[in-house]
Amino acid sequence: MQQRVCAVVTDEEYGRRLQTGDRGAVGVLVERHHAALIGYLYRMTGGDSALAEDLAQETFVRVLRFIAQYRYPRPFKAWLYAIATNIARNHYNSADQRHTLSADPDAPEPPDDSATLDDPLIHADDVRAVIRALAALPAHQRETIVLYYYQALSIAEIAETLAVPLGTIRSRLSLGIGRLREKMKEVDYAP
Amino acid sequence: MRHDPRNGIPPPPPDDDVRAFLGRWSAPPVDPAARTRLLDALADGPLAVLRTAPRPLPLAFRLRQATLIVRAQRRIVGGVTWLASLLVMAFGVWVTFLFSQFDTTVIPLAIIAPVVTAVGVAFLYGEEVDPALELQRAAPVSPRLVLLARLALLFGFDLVLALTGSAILAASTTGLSLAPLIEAWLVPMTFLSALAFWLSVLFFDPLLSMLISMLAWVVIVVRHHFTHPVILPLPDMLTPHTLPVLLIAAAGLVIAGLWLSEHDDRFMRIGHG
Repeated sequence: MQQRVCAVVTDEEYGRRLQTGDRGAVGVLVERHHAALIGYLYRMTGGDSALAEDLAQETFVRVLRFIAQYRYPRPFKAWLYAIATNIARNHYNSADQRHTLSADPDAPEPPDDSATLDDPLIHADDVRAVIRALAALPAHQRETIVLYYYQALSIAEIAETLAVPLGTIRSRLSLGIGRLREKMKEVDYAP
Repeated sequence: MRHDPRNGIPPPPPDDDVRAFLGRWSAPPVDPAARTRLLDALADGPLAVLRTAPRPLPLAFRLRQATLIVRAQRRIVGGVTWLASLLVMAFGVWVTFLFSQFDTTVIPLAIIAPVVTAVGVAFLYGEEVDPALELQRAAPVSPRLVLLARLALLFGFDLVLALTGSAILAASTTGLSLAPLIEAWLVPMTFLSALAFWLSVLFFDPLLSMLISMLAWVVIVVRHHFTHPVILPLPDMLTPHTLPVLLIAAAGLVIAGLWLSEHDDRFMRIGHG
């Protein structure tokens, strides 16, 4: 029987090592967070795997570039997801995506899902309903919902990631759930 | 941390329907080549290292952090350790009291107190006894600090027990006074627990570290109390002249153990059991 002896070095320690120039630390951080980060960005891009991979790569490149700004011993994971969230936001705010923007900051900013039509994972109607429901949420509610339900971050971790108070996250979560339920009714969703 | 009322985070309303709805959209598996491409891209990427040393954390923050760490370790050490230490130490006090009625130089408490602490310390660290290693990994606290907190907690507890026992003995007997009594067990207890700690970090095996520590202790005690030709060439480590050596050795062992604990590569290994 194989037994794995747990590593006892935290993400925060690796973050600090990276700050001192230990480039090997980034390998461990990639090992720990790359897949989950792609999952997060996959949802944030409306199911575009290739774009999610590109944005994840950009996230880690920025980790290296801005590691001096990481404040040990603040949670590294929250810092990482904060970078990824900013990159996803910037992507949709960029000139290429300007046509998706709305004048109302609370209005939905649906990711363009035309790029994902070839993805067999999102062909099914029920999956498309989820994507549309999430896309119909305001960006800040969508981020909160995705971080909470898909990435399994706690409310405190989401607050740290998005740099807003706990109460705001609770409110966004509650409003987001309400809107999702409306969308679920529209598609006659039955669990 | 999730929904923890101690953090002032109330549980959200039931959301099983939302969870099930969202669960219909699963992410595709990540292409292993993507990770390779990423690592290649990062290999030559610019790395902005800190030009200055990180700003020291405020004292209040560090004190609060230390308190939280010690409190967390108290739960991990477990009730059996505390109870066993208390009972064995009480037994040592009782036996010492009985011995004080006779004309003997042997102080059982000075033999038992180091054993109690060393056994407890040996089981502070290791794969089988520490299911919380995964938690350590996820917490923004260095393993060195966690181990130090755990060591201080257990040693402190046994120290209080032994001091209390010594005070009781000094008050209830005529042949034993407090200062020599404390002198008889304090340094050996420090040394033996430091040895057990270092061995447990070195071998990652509590049982082995306990056995080696006990063997070392038996040799030290036998050498101190007997003069058999076989053990006579060994130095007596429990004389007033050699106690400082034990104290220095204890400090060295603790430092070496903490240093080893920070070298995670030793604990990334894959074992076969």
